[in-house]
Amino acid sequence: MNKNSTGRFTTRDLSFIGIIIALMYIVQTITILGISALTPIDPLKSIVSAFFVSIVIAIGLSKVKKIGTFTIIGLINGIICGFILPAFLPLLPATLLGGIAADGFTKIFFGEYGSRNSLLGACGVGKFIETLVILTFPFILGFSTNILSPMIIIVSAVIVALLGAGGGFIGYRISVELKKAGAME
Amino acid sequence: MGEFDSDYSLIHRLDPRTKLILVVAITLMCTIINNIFLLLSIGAGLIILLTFSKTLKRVSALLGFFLIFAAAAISLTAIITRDINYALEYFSPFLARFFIIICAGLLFAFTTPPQRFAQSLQQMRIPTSITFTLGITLRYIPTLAREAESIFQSLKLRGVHLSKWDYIRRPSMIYRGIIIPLIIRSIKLSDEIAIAAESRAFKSNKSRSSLKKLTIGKNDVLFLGIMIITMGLVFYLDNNPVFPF
Repeated sequence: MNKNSTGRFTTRDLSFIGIIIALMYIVQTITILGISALTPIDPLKSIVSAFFVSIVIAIGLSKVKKIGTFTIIGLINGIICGFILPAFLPLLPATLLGGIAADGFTKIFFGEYGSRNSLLGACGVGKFIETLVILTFPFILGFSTNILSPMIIIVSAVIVALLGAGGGFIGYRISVELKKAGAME
Repeated sequence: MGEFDSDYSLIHRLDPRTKLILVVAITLMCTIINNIFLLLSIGAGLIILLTFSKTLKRVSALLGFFLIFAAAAISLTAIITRDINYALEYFSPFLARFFIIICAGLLFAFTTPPQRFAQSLQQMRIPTSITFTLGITLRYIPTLAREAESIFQSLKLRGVHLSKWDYIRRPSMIYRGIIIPLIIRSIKLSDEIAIAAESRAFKSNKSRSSLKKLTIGKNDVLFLGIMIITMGLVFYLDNNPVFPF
C-alpha cells in the first residue's frame, strides 16, 4: 500500500472513508425518511438520526485515526445531502462545520482519534455544532425571523450531542470487538 | 436518482459546473429577496426548468412530500392561533424559500450523473482526496444497499424472521445479524477498492487525467447569460416594487 499519499491520507484510508460515508447515507436515509420524516418538527429529525449515524462515524474514526477524517466525512456527506439527495444546500455548511469542530476538538484534547473518549467527544461535538447550524442557518440567511426559540435550539443540540456521544460509544465498542476478531486493524 | 442519458434534455447536457452555479446563486438570491410574489415566480421558473428537463414527474413525489409538510405546518399554526391569515403570512416566505432551494437541488440531482459531478469538482481543482472519496461514496451507495438486503435475506433463509417490534425489543439481533456482517463486508470492500486503485497507479496526491474533459460550451454560456439577466431583473423588481404584494 502507498503509505505517503496526500502526505497524510493513504488510498486505503480514503476508500474506507468513502465506504463509511456510503454506509452513513444508507443509515441516514432509513432513519430520516423512515422515522423522522413522519414528523414536521425539525429538531426531531436530527435527534432520531444522530445516534445511528454516530455509530457508523465512530467505526470510521476508529480505523482512520488521522485528524481531518471527520472534516472529509462532513464535507462529502454535505455535498451528497446538499446537491444530490435530499438536495438541500444548507445541509453542506452544517455537516462541514460539524466535522471541522470535531477535528479541532480532538486535535486539542486528544491529538488523534482512536481512544474511547476521543470518539465520544468528537461525535458529541460534531453533532452539537451540526444541529446548531441546521437550526440557526435559516435565521442567519433570513429564512424566517421566528421559527424556533433559542432555548429549543440549545436543548435540541444538547440532546443530539448526547445521542451522538452515545452512538460514538457503541461505535467504539463495535470497533473493539472487530479488532479482537481480527476483522479490523 | 434521475435519468442520466446526456441526450435526454438540454438541461442534462449542461456542464455540472453551470448547474452548480445555478443552485448556489438561487440559494443565495432567495435569502435576499423578500417579495413573496418574486419568490413564487422563481419557484415557478424552476418548475418550468424541471418540466423542460423531463424530470418533473420523477420529482413530483418529493415535492408532494414537501407540500404536505407545508400544509401541515400552516394548518397547525392556524389551529393554534385561530388565524389563517397570520399562519399564511408567518410561513409563506419561509416555505417559498425552502421550496425554491429544494427545486434547484432536485434539478441538479436529477439531471447530473454523479460521476460527471465528481469529475467537474476535480476540474475545479478540488483535491483528489475529496473527489476520489466522493466518487467511491456515490458508486458504492447502491452496492452497500444491495449488500444490506442480501444480509437481511440470508437471515430469513436461516429462519430468523424479524418483526417490526423485534427491532426495538431485541436490538442485539440487528447488531449481530445485520450491522456486524455489513461492517465486515464494508472493510473488505474498501481494501479491495484501495488495491484496485493502487494497481492502476492511482495516487491520491496527484491529479488524475481523464479521457473525456468537461467543457463549458455555447449552451452553458447562453444558460448562464439568461440566468444573470433574470437575476438582475428579479433584484431590480425587489428594490423597485411594481406589484402590490
